[in-house]
Amino acid sequence: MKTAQDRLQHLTAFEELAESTFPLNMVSPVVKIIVAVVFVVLTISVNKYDIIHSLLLTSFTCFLIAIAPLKVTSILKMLLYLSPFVLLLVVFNPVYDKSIIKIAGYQVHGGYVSAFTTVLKFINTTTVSVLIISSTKFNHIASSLRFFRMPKFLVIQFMVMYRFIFIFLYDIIQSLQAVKSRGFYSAKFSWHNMKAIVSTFFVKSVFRGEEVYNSMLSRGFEIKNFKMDNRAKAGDVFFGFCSLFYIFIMRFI
Amino acid sequence: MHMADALLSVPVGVTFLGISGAAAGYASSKLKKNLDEEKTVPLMGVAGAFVFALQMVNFAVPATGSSGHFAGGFLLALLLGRHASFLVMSSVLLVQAMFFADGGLLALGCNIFNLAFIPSYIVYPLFKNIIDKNESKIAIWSGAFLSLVLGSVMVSIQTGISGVAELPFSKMLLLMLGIHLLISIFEGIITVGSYMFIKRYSLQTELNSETGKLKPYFGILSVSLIIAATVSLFASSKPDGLEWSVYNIMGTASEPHSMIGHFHNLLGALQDKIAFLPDYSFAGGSGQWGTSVSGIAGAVIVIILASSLGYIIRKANKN
Amino acid sequence: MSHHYIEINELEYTYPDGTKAVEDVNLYISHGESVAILGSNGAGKSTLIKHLNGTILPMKGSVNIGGTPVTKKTLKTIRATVGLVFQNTDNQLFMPSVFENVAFSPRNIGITGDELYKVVEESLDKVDALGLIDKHPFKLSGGEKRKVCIASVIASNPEILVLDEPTAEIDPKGIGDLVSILRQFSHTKIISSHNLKFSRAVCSRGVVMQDGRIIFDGELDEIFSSDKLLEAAGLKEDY
Repeated sequence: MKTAQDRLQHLTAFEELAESTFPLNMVSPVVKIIVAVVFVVLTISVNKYDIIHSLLLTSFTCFLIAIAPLKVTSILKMLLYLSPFVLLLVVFNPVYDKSIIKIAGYQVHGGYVSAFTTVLKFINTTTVSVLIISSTKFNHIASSLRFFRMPKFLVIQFMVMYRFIFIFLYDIIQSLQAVKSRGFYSAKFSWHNMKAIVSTFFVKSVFRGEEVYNSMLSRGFEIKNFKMDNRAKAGDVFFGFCSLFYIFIMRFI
Repeated sequence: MHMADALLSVPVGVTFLGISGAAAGYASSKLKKNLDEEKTVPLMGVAGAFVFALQMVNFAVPATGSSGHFAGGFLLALLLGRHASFLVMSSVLLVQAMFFADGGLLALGCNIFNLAFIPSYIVYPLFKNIIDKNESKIAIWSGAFLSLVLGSVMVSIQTGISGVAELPFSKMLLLMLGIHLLISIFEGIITVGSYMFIKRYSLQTELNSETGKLKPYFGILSVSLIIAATVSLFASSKPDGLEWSVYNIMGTASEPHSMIGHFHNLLGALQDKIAFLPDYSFAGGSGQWGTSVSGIAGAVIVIILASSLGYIIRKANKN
Repeated sequence: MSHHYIEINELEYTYPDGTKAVEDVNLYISHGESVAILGSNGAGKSTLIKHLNGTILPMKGSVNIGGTPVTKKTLKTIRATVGLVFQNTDNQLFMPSVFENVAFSPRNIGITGDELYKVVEESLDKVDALGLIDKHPFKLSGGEKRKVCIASVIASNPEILVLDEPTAEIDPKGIGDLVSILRQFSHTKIISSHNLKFSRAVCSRGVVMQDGRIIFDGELDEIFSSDKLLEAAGLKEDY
């Protein structure tokens, strides 16, 4: 289970990555999100015994990895951390699916094939969405949510929440340290303490949040300011079309 | 537990995205009416960050040696009212999906349904009246407990009807419930304690603007549907009256052996009509063509080519 | 526009729980003045200060900045003119790096790219904190945080600078640095503080509040030569 510290570092790292100048960072966020969604849908739609199409779509993932700011080792780490749930379920596939499939003259249980493709799908969908997000500045992400017709007050709420997350994560790290030192715990808390932790943290957060929000307002925070130029530049359209075209071909070839 | 994209099938994912999207639209319009933007928006932001940060706190689940964390969907509904809490939980899930890949983009609809829709719109209305009247601790506990349990059940259902994981529904259900049962009990206890404590500050009256009784019909209906779906998926070996009648209507080529198989035939027939994603087939299909050696080799070559192209672009961009 | 005066007339504010925080406050501050707001805890200093940039809106009476009344509609212009540094530094450093925190305000005005960098660097330079530009706010000391907060506020070039208890959490050396920094600023300065020496070093005029009202408004030196006023200002060191 990731700790608050890890999450905080992760978010901070993402903010830094978004500022870098890799090719993927240059593409319009709206285009990137559309490509990501189409990719995810098409990847998931591949038949579970279809290794070829799963691999073909993986090529797009590899292409993105090469032009995105996230390092391969970081991606692998994330995948490793997220995989248990998926692995837990598909590890049973060979047990329950004993249909026979021929590969290279060998007879293989269908379960193994579907487990393999599912893991591939997991890798592809997770990697692509993470790459898209890590290469986009948060303000642009918020702005594209607006583009996709999310109500204004929700987008503001989203932005405010995002900012608060940094502060609250830091806060909860401090609070937990305090609880630990006074409660003489070494690792986990008893559920007893949770009541107190939850409630005091909530009340603190409400008061804290009000103050932070006031200071944001005092420094000119307004949703209007984050409207970015959503006009698609030639490069964005080119990228968008080529990517979608490529993905469709990989899917249906 | 957050659903992953890879375990879903497209129709299931899209369906739940639709439900969640519609619910979000509904919640937004309801909230907008009485919106005191100055107050409510930052408060929702606070609540979201609060839930997010809180989910990082692990507590030891006694007698198992493992740990769980507090989800907070029901508590949020108690504190903010169902519309705001639904939207707040959805935002948290959105952040988790985007920045932590905790649950995929396609699976977001399912996760929002399981962790936001269920506590806010299904379970909360069932208990709200009782809680308002006499702050029954049992009611609060039950609400939190039920939200988590139903959530686990829905995960199993969603995975089951997607047909990607071969684990039989019964085993999957047992697995999900087993993992979450103990945690749900504690979620309930923590929710009760926290709610009582927070009420003392009388912030709650400011935050939850829902007065008046809520009709529990939708909640009861939904819970019944979920239970019905669970039971029929569970006892799926023998075709029953319902299956036969639908089979006759659809006129499918093969006789459905199980509820799941039958469901797939239904979707398959539907999909033929739509003719999108032409060679998409559900569990039971056996595409031999997806496994030829030359095909696989070719695909690997494409991967290498695509990676090289990306690498070249990256180097070119640097200069 | 450089003649921003502050005019407060018959200001009154009561909190939702009934506490009358500010009552019948009248104040006129002309362009370029340095005014210290003194008083014991709960006297109403923070409440008064928060009125200056519209964080709190008056219940009765009015607040005027350079002729513009502080109302819901004028908040944007007011906030561009009045920069408010709140007391709690952590609550103001909500971006993950010092650069981002200082850039927040100018970005909201529309400054981007190279110019943005210039503005951020200049602001940090003015508070002698340029070396902190890439750091995470969580890792800064109390004095450093205070400096970054001030830089974040002056980055949008306000005419009037308001500081709420700026010496809280800072060691004596840090306070000395703060004094030199503030002395260099030509803004109109309004500073609420508990610290005798600091107030005298930076301001010439003093306003003492007690129970929500102003009980003295004049030369700072006068306050310090009167025991009675010192006690009312909560500044009598009696231990």
